[in-house]
Amino acid sequence: MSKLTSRRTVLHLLTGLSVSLLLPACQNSTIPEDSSPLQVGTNVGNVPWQLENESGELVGFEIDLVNIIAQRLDREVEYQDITFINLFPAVLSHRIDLAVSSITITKSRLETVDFTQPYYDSDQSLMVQSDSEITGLTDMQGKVVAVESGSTADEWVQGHQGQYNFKEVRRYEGLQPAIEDLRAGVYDGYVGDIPAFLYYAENNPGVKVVERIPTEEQYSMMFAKGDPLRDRINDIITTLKQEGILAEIHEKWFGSPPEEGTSTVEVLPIPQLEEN
Amino acid sequence: MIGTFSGLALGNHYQEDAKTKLEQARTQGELLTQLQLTARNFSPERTFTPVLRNTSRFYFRREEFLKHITEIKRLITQLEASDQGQENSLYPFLNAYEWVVNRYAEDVTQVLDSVNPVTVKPSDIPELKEKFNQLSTSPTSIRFHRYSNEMSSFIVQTNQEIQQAEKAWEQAETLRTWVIIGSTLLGAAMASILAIMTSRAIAHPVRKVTQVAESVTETGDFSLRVPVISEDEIGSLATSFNQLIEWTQDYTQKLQKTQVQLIQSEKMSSLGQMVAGLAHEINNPINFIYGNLRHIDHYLDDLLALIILYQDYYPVPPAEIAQQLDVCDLEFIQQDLPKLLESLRVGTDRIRQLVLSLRSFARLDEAEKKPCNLHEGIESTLLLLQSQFPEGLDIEKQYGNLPEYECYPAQLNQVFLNLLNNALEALMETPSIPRKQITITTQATEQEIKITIGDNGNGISPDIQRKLFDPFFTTKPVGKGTGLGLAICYQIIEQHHGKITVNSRLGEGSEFMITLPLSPRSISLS
Ligand SMILES: Nc1ncnc2c1ncn2[C@@H]1O[C@H](COP(=O)(O)OP(=O)(O)OP(=O)(O)O)[C@@H](O)[C@H]1O
Ligand SMILES: [Mg+2]
Repeated sequence: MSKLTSRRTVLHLLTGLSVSLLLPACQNSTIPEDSSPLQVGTNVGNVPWQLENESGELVGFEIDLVNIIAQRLDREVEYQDITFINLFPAVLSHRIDLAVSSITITKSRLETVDFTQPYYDSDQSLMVQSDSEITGLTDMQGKVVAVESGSTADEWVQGHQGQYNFKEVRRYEGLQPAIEDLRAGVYDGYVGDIPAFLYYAENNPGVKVVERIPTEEQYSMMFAKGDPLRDRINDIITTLKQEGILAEIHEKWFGSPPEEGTSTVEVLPIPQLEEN
Repeated sequence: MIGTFSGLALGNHYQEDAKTKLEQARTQGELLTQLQLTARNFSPERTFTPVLRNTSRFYFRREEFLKHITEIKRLITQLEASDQGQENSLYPFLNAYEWVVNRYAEDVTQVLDSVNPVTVKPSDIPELKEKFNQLSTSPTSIRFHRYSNEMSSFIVQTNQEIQQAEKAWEQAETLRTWVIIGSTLLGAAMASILAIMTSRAIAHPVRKVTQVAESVTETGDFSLRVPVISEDEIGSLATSFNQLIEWTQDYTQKLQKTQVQLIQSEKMSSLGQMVAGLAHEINNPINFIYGNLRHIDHYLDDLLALIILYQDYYPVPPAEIAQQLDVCDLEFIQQDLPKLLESLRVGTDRIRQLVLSLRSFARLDEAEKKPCNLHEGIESTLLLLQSQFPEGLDIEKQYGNLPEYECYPAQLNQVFLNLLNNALEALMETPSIPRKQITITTQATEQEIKITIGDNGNGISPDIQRKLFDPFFTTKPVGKGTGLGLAICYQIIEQHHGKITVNSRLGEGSEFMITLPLSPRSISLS
């Protein structure tokens, strides 16, 4: 009897050992993603959301926000400079974990990507040369208009072609090259996000914002559909709103605290595609 | 073993896993590259503007374009299928891409449909060119190209996945190796532990085998057997060992038989020679005596007749003769002398008989089987032994009708001699027996002859009965018995294809029975 039990013990020992031998392999096979740096795609130059300062550091409203989020996630961040239109396939291909670039939540975008709750309420606007005679959209008839390729401005211009009769639509990738062409007189008016335009015009000579186009857009962070990271980051955004940190960031970049009731202050639900 | 196999199974599982991942990644990589290559060269303005007025080429290129779109869609579907169960799913991308492709295809076909190359005039061309240019800078077109380009990152990613999968494969391979090494070591360790455990379990039965082996060698008791308790290797060892003992026993018996045979033939030939010589030496003087007895008889008759004749012619003899006649009591001599001669004749006759018996017994040189009268053999043997008969011995003979028996007579006489000798010795050993008796019976059936030689001696205890016929088995003191008597009997009877058995009761007597088969030729009644 004792011989039998001791034999069994040996077998148990053996099984245990082989299992322990295999364990490292099991761990290897499920590579934990959480320790790897957060890959963030962003359209650098999109002021004041993401831009390079004089010393070449990447800064901005959304950069501050992402950095705090990464801190709370206890993860490093790696930023990839990607043109706005490319952010969509990039996030879908998982080249990046998320995209930040004052991306507006839209119905059609929700069909292919996921967003967190918004953190900024925005509109479109029209920017022209400082010495331009154009005072608003009505002056843009028969004029050449420019937009950021694939942006909501692009959509808006296409949607309002009949109303304003633009002569031509020019599509740019990046704020900088577009404004350079505007200054050079390549086209007449530039339609785009009002906070960026105001910020740029305030800090750079030669251009002015002549009209706010009320589109009631809300900015958010963009994820590939079904990425569980979205919910975790959304929770962090909630706390950042509650702690007033988002408001601090707003004040830092826009010089004034956010208005009550805006998405920078209010905790909002995750945007969903309405059913039906 | 179990460890090794389960380890290998797990190792195989990981390796299989790594293999499927690797294959999946490779298929995906191939599909993506193909997709990108197909999508990359899409440029409607460059494709269509040069052929706006060439109907066949325009339609050919239009067909090509649509084929490419179909191909892209097919690749997307295939990729979606290969994507199942992947961690970083391509699905959201492919879904979006499919939408983009559809939109793009729609936009392009819309423009293409607005062109009828048959009716296109050279003056229409700048306008159409502008249409195609706008198409190529449209958000859909840009999106289409960006999504198509994004596949590069997928390809990079897939390549990384391939590398990872290859690494995982290697890891699985390493794991396998380690499992093999580890479990081999463990197996060895376990084997040694089990070896110790089993050696203990084996030691006991093996010790038993050893003990039996030792006692067999010490006692020569081939009846000893190792108990076969299990059906395992030990069991078969025990069985083999027992078989070995059996073989050894058989072999020893055969060896002893040969030895006995050798001794017997030696003994017989020397005894036979001696007896033959002796018989010859005795035979001659006895024949002289026997032959001369007749002459003595005649001479005495003559002499007596002469004396009677003298007495008739000279009735009164001279005094000296008359005196001598008184002294010799001639009358008594006349009466006694024939009796004397008769007894001489009987004595000499006995000696002649004895010599004949000796010669009959010593017919050892006779190598051939001969038809014999077995009763004659028994009688001559008894005659030889007569001098040793104890006082008051009763020999009871119940002879049946025996056919002449084809045999080696000298050898059978040897059997009778040995058996009778033993019987006599048994009777002598117990002087208390009031009526010493030896019973000899013979009988014949159609198939066999049965001869029994029994005595009412001390008998044989059952525990030694089966050893009686073993060579050198004796209960008699050294110098008296060799223990060969019965062994020789056994062997001779065996030579005659017969049987010899013993039936004995301790204190009551013994009876040896010889059964000899009759060959058809020997059935001729004497
Ligand atoms: N008729 C008998 N009665 C009792 N014991 C007998 C008889 N015949 C044989 N035996 C026993 O069998 C033994 C073997 O007999 P066996 O004739 O082979 O050898 P032995 O008589 O001892 O020696 P020997 O070689 O001189 O004949 C005897 O020693 C005796 O103990
Ligand atoms: Mg004997």
